[in-house]
Amino acid sequence: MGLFNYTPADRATGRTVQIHRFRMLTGDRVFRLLSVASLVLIWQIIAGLRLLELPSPVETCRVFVDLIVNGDPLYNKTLPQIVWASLLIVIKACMLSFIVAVPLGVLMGAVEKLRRYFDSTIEMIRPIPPLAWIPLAYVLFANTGSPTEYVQIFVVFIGALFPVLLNTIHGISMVNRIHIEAARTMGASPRQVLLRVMLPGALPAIFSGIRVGFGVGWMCIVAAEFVGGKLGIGYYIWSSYSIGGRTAEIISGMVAIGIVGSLINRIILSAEKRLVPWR
Amino acid sequence: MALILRDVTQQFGETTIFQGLDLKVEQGCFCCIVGPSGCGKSTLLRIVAGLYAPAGGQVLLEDRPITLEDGEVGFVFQEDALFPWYTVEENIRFALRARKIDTSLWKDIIEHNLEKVGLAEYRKYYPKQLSGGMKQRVAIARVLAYNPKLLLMDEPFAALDSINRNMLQADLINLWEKERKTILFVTHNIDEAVFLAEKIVIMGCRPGRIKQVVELNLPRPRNRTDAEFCRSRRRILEMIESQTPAIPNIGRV
Repeated sequence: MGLFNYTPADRATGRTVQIHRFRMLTGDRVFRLLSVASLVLIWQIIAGLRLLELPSPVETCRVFVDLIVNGDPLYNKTLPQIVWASLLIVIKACMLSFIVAVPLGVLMGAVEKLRRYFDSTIEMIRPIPPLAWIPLAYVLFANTGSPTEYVQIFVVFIGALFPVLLNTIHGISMVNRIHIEAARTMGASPRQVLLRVMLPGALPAIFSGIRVGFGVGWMCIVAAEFVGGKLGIGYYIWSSYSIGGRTAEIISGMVAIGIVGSLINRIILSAEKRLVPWR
Repeated sequence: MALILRDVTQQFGETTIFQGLDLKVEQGCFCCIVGPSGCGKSTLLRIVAGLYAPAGGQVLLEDRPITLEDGEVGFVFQEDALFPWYTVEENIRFALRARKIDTSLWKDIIEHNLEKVGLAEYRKYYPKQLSGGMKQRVAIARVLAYNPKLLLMDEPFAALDSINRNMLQADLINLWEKERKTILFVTHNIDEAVFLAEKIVIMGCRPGRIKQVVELNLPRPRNRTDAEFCRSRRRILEMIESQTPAIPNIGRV
């Protein structure tokens, strides 16, 4: 049983492999940065030659930093504050959709009858783009205190719901049959099979659903804020456009959207690593 | 007090998997079922476990039908059936919880059973950190933990290399000699059957049926290179080959 006793020779090979990998990584990083550099260069050329009405990369960068540090005097808010308003809605709505989608998905994946019952409804609603719900949502939530917030939460909720639901159903149905049989031969109750076998077995799939769901939700909020409201990053870039002559602010807002989107992705990935340590 | 199969039959739709199986395995007997793939060995084992109901006939353990709830049966699968999301220790805990065993006993049971299979220091490891042989040892410890009377083993060593397989066979015999549980062990490896079994059940195909039951009284410890061992091996092999249908029959269901 010497599986874990590495010899010095093994360790030596391990080290050479690591050094090699390190070199590859640094080389790879430079290569990746090259792609960003060429994008900025093309942007600089277009802006410099006035091919398009674009602020130069340097000018945009200056505005971006200024928006983060000093904020926008027209809105009396810094860029992080503006982004946070949108993010808050997305977090609320996504939590709501996970609370609905994960249990529903687990039940639908586990109980064939439930799946057949819900299947046609879901397939009818799923192809409707979340943004197409906005007008109806404004009608539905017209009598609430703050219709805009409800509409935005609703739209993000719809957007995040289906990726999580479908991934959960898929994850449950892909749970290894042997694991379920093993649990049953050990005398596990249906509840134990569901919570201690099917749910953990489906957890990796559920997590990728949550990641996609958050991503879709983040896209939905930007669009939903174009249409109404006085808050958030979508509202900020759309109103900057309406005012006119604020291209650098618009691009800064877009960059902020991109950064936050990829941060969300990374945070969920690292949460997944912690909660799914057996992978 | 024994495991008794009485006229057990299984069908999936129109296809008969096996028909009219009668078998008696005495308390404490190590019984191997050998036969070509497709004769329903695995299905039979799952019926004995209570996972499926047979289309006809009865399975009795100590004159009572077997159910999943009563905890008399431990099943060891061919595939890696450990839960990858649980550590070795948590895998055993799952079985203890499912069997409603008093939590105050868990710690001792886990330690004791991991020692039995020689993996006491691997309590905190995840299955992915273990080799194939170690995983099957844990799987055995997991079912031994709730002390079933009957062990059902569905080609548990088939995926292992031959050195590991021989080691696990020897260890399983040691365990069995100490605890004298009734074991029903499915394999298509004749060498394995002759090394392990006191009783070998030879199954035939299409439809599956029991062709022959051989009592094997070789002394233990058995040695694979003994003349007597080889003679038994050849005898069993000849019996099995005489069961295999001639080529024109292949494909006829």
